[in-house]
Amino acid sequence: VTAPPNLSPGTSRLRALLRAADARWRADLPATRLAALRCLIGGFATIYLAIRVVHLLSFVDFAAASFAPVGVVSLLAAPLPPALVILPVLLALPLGLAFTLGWRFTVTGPAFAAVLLWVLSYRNSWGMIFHTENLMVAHVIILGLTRSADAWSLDARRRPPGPQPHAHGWPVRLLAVVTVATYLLAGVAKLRLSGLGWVTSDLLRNYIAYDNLRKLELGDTHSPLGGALVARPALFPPLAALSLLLELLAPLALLGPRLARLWSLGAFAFHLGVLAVMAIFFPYPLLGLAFAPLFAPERLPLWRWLRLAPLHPGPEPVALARP
Amino acid sequence: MSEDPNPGARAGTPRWSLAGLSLVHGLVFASAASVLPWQRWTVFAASTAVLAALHLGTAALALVGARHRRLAWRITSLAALAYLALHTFTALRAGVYIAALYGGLGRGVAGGLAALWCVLVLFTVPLALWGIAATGGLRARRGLGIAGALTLAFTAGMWRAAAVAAADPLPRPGDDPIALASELQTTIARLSVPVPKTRPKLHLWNRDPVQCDAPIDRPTLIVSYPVRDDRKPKPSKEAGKQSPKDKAPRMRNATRCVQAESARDLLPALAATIADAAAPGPMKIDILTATQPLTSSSPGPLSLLLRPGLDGVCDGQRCLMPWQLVALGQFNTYTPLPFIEDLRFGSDPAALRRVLTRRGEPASDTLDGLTRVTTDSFIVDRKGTVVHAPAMREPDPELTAEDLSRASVAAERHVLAAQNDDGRFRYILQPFTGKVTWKGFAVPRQAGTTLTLCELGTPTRAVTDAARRSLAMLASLERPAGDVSGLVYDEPGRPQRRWASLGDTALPLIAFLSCRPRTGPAHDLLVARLAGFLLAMQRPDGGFHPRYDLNKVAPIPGPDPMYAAGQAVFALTLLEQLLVDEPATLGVAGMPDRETIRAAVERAMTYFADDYWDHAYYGFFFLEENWHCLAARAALPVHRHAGYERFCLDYVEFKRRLILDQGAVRSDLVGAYGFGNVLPPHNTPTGGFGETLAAAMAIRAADGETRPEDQQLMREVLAFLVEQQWTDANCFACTPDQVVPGGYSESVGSPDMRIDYTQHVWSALGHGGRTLGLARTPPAPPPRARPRARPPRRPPRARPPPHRPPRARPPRPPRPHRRSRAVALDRGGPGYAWLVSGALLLMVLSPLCRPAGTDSFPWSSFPMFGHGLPDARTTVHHLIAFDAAGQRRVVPPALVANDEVLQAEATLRRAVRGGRKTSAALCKQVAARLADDPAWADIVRLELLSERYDAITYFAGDTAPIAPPKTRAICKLLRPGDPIAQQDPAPKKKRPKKTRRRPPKKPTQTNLSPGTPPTNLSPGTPSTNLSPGTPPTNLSPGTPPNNLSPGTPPPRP
Repeated sequence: VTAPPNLSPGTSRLRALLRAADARWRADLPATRLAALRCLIGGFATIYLAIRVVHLLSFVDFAAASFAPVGVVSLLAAPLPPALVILPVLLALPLGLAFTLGWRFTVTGPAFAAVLLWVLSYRNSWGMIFHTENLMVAHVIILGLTRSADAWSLDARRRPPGPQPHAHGWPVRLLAVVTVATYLLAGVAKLRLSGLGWVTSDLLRNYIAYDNLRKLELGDTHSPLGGALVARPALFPPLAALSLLLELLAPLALLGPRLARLWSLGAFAFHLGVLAVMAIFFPYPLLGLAFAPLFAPERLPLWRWLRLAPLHPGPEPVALARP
Repeated sequence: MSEDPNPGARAGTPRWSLAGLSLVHGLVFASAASVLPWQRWTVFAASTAVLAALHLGTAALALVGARHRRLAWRITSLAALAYLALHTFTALRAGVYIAALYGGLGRGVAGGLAALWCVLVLFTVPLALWGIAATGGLRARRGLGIAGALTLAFTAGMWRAAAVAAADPLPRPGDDPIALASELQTTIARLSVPVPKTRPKLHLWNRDPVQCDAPIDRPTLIVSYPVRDDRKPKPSKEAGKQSPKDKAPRMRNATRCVQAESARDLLPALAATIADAAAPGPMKIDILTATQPLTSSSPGPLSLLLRPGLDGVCDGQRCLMPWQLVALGQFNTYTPLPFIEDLRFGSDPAALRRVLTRRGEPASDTLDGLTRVTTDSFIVDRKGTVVHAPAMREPDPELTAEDLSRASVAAERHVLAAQNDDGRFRYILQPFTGKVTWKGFAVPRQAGTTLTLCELGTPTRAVTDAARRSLAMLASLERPAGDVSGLVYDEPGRPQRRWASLGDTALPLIAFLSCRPRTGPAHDLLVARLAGFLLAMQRPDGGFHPRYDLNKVAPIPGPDPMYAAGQAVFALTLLEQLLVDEPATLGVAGMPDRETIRAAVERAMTYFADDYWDHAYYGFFFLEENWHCLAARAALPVHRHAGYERFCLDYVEFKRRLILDQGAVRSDLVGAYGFGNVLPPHNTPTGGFGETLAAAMAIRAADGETRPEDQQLMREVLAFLVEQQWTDANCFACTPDQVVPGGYSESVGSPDMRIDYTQHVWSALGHGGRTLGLARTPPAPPPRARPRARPPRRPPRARPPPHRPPRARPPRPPRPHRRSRAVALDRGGPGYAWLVSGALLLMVLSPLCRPAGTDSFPWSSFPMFGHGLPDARTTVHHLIAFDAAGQRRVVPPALVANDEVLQAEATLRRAVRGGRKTSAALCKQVAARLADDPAWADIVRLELLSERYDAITYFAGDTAPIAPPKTRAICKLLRPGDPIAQQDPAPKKKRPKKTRRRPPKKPTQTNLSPGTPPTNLSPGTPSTNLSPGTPPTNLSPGTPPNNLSPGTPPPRP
């Protein structure tokens, strides 16, 4: 006897699985959490752009021969005329402000994400790809494409949005997953490029020495601590192993608030260590913004000072249980 | 800042990514080779195993970091492409063969094959192309040659496959089957065999092949017909008693192979053969029309080389006719995936051999030596009327009210006869052997059959009694749990279940409520408890849990069960109707109040309309939601819900795409629910679609909308279903011990009859016929209250059938547009959520698919620290400024490029790599910047130097370069007031022609004012950019030399 044509247990199980995945991924979180992330990340991106305006405009007079487009800028075959370099940079600042304040967010959200992507991609298109802005850009894209202005925004003040069930949880989870994924990728890159030798050999020590040397020889700030530490080779394999473990085990941060705290602390310490021994400043993680999606940033006292949050918030967990 | 100093440049033969990908591919192919083919040592298994081994070998070499992984990867990549070509060729050849054999693959099958092929492509092409590209690529000429050869081979193979599928025609009395039927009619009439006055207990079932005297290369037909049975009857158990049937002439089946030398002689030979016929019918005549030798190397899939109902098979001169193969279940024996036993289609060669082999002889398991035969099939009914009946069904081009009426009456008779004494309906029947199976008996199917009986059965006592018996049987399954009850059927020999399922209770409740006008209120108490069960099973969001824990008296949480959720809505809707029609039933103990039921129905309908199937692919597919449509139709008089009705209408719009239409398939399959000619369409899904379409048409009709296309489609569906019914004529080989006519088999290739096959088709015939105006709504019989345990407080009123015009229809709210689709595109909708999440995660993780070390922005693999440095010795390029006293100062990044030190380093590196001109240009550019800066007023010249250091010893205190610096460019600063520089470079000195050893690089000097000599030039060193006659530099005493000798450290700033 063949299978009953109107019973399909396989389909049913798949369906159940999909529904469970959907329920977990889109489980609701307060709109204020996403809004807090928008304010923090959008505010940081805007200030970062404002501080870096001179740097961003410096590419105007770079030699065309140095132009090596990456990402979206790969559409260009040659550098842009100065006006078209300056315009997006200047446009990005008011858009960033509108993004942070949540003004006309349906338009300004995606627009700021797009302009930021363009400006920073252009910045990286001169033979040198920096890695300090990748995560920030990815986060701004996510925030710009989601309903992150449903609270604590000018839009919400002008016209409070109706109930939006399941619209504010998944963006926060996506932000957290992207954060974790970038660290995982960095760990995988080390294994792909150098294998376990990255831990067991002098690769890291040599690299730190080289990095400080070139900074010194190029007239930039270097880390005297790094220079001093390279004389102690035994230090580096454990440091390398810790760094690699921290990166490869980053997905564990998604499993629970305690692990999220632990990992974030580790990642923060890692960046602090990089600053100390290589004089490389990663502002986004060192200011805690990279890890903010793993927590409940809407409970920061900052919002109460800004009169955005109630003075006595409810008993919500501080860390995000499961992204 | 961190950086990738050399993005993409280190992308050689990858190691870890190659190992990981090869490992995954190897494991996938290894499992495919061992699991997928049902036979060992097939070409598929062997080639897949070889490819798996190659992948695993490459993975192993990459894991250990062996140099030879590059070669292994290249070989594996080429083998993967060859593997793809081989199986593409095989699949295409099989497709062409099957298309030629069946007259088309059908969109469904073609789409399925294409999807499988895409899987194959995904597992071969990307890694193979990457491998070939990363290991040296392919020469264009060679690639073109291979492509040309492949094209030729493919074309020849396809042509050959199409040619092989054609069978060799046999001579036959005529090509027109209708004319042939007429000639056969004449032949049989000439025999003048009288029709027996009493119907003999006879069927033509014969499982043995018929033996022909001559090879099957001449006009041949096979006839099965009744002959007088002169054998002594078996002694009766009750001797002396003789039933009327015993008085009928005793007959038996005879099967003969009739052959003639010419087609003209075949029918006379038939007449001579059947001269001993005991009755003019039933007979089955198959005229063989063509033959085709079968081999194991046939291009098509072996399981599909015979068409169900159309092809017979001969082993030499022993033949089984198409109907015999169907009766023997030969089209349901092939299990392509041994681990899924229930996935069966087509004919297993070994099983085919077994039924053809004589007893005691060893059976082969290949098709070699067998011959496929095609036939013109004719059925002679008991009165001697001949009809042409391909695949045992008589084509009926026009659907009439009489056809429908006859089919419905036959279905009712079949269902009534299928009922056992205990009220259960016979579960599965093999129509030829008469074997009955109760295994797997399902309560919902029992209840569904009862529902259809009550809805569509004639207003006769027989129907009412059958319904009562069935309801009593269902009521006996009650399992109380607190204030509510569920129904539980425990299969004999199995431990008692401690949970009740939604489906086992919801559909019986529908049956109780639908049959109530016929059978009375005897089960009202049970109805109240079952209704309580459904309410307890409802989730807050409106959906339903699948199971109920009878011990804990609580639902077991879970997703909405397929079918049962719609049945629950249907049941609650009927109950709401009952409470409106007969308020007295509210007095039954435990009966939920009307508002509770109404709220539950509203919540459920809203949930299924809005949230249940709310995703971005709403417009692409649905699962099985027939019962929701039936619920929406039942709700028309009492509880209309625009969204829920829209859900039903959308579902039907989706499903109608799967109905085979004119031109796409054989004419006898038009109106069926299926995937084309190759896989025989099943009757039950077709019936299910008919039921659902009827419900959708009723919903539209309630809004005054009638669509001609719906009516046309319904006609086609019903015509197909009527044709598929077992009738007295086509049941020539059916068992005489069971009532088979009126019932339905699973499909033309699968003869088993389960009771719900007939139930669904009957429901489609009844409801569909009503929507077309071809069938009347039978008047409801007066209720005959037969209280069971406790009489209701008030005698019930007969509730009219659920599809009468609504009594008091609530105003219809405006029908919404496709809300789900709108929500899907909204930034808060699930489709959008998954789309954005998926897209961003793919982009973030995309660097994993790129070669190690390549980089981009913002989707980076973050290789900045990954390279490490195997050696602490490194070269630093920098610009050094010298004052007049020869003191050096490092030019900071902001003056080289911008404030980023790494950007400055990249600029310097690029200049050095660009050669002398580029270096000189950068030097000149920076010199101009310095000239404008008062902080650099003391600087007179710039030098672009490359210095090599040992970074470890550097920080140990030895800051001297480990090799002499290389001067890439020298330039002087020009300030206002300085003599005008010679801007145009001097004509280049010709480089010496090819020399084995590259001459040492000489510094490039630019912007030298006339009279300024180049610095640090050793005697005889050629200087560049010098105006003719420019003397060499006169170094002032104390000026530090630039070309320092080895080991001489430059002074630190």
